[in-house]
Amino acid sequence: MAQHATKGARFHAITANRLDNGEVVYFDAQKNWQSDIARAAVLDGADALDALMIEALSSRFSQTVVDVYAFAVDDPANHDANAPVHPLSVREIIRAAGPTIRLDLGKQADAPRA
Amino acid sequence: MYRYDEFDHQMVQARVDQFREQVERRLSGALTEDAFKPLRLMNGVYLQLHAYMLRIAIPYGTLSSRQMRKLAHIAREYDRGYGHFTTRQNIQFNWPELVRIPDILQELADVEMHAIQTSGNCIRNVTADQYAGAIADEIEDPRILSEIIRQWSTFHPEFSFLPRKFKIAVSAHEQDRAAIRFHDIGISIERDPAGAIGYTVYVGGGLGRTPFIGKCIGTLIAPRDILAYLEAVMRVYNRFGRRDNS
Repeated sequence: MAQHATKGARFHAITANRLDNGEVVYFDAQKNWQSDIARAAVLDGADALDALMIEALSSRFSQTVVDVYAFAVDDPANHDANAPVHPLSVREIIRAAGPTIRLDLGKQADAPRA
Repeated sequence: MYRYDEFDHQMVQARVDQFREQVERRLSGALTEDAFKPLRLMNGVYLQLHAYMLRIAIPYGTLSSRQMRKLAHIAREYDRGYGHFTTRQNIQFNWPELVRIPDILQELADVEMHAIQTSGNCIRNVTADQYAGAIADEIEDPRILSEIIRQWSTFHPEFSFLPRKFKIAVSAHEQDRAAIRFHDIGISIERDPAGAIGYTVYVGGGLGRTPFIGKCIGTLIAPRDILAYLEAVMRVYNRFGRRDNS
């Protein structure tokens, strides 16, 4: 069972931490680990999630990461095409952005200002 | 403050060298994460929400200026320019890279510091009053007993795989600024009616999900008996403590 799945959620993405430096990363459709959540593959349904999770956990793709798991996301159709991936849990929203008490740290600090 | 002897230096250096090799094997894939995780925890390395976190021991909160400068250097060189002093008198760095942590530990060893037993199911940093050794009306300097307990508990082979983490605090003042009754073992340094030093021992205190106030199980324990007393407490905990609720 996905570690941070929301019960009944339809859409999921896969995340992990880079082994060498701990950075939060996301598995994309090309089976690469990306730093930007916007590039994460969004899996529609349990079958799609299971298929990509098998890949993410395989030795071929899991050597450089640690703690691989799936988390629930909103329907990408509800969001801008440039930022389609939105976690449903506060935990994953914070994890994707950075510490809430230090906005100058984490991925949020590197994001281009609107 | 306590100064390392040659044995202390050797042990800490051996630990650094050992962990460096463990990290190399993990990065090469020779060690799985399941095998590596307890090893990194024994060296104070957590994997948290945003990054790794390294917790460094500051025994009973005592720090020299040389050590403080080294921590500042580590923050600048290896992290994001800051460190977090914790409630239990450690310091945490929130953004270290696993590949560089052995170098951090080497820098720490150079100033007689380490991250040994700062995480995992073992006896953690012994904490004391923030005014220890400086306030005039303390019964005696609690750092002395704290150091004795630190030496006794570090690398203790019987207590390296406890049911859960274990925390000890020492107070030597009628005003308990070390919150000893919220620790697994809390020791109050007191004087008996004849003026001799004795240790009153509280056990079972803690915070977290199920806060408990520690219960007194012994009063005015003689100093010569305290380690044997603590060892008995630890053996009961090690034998009967829950291992299923981490």
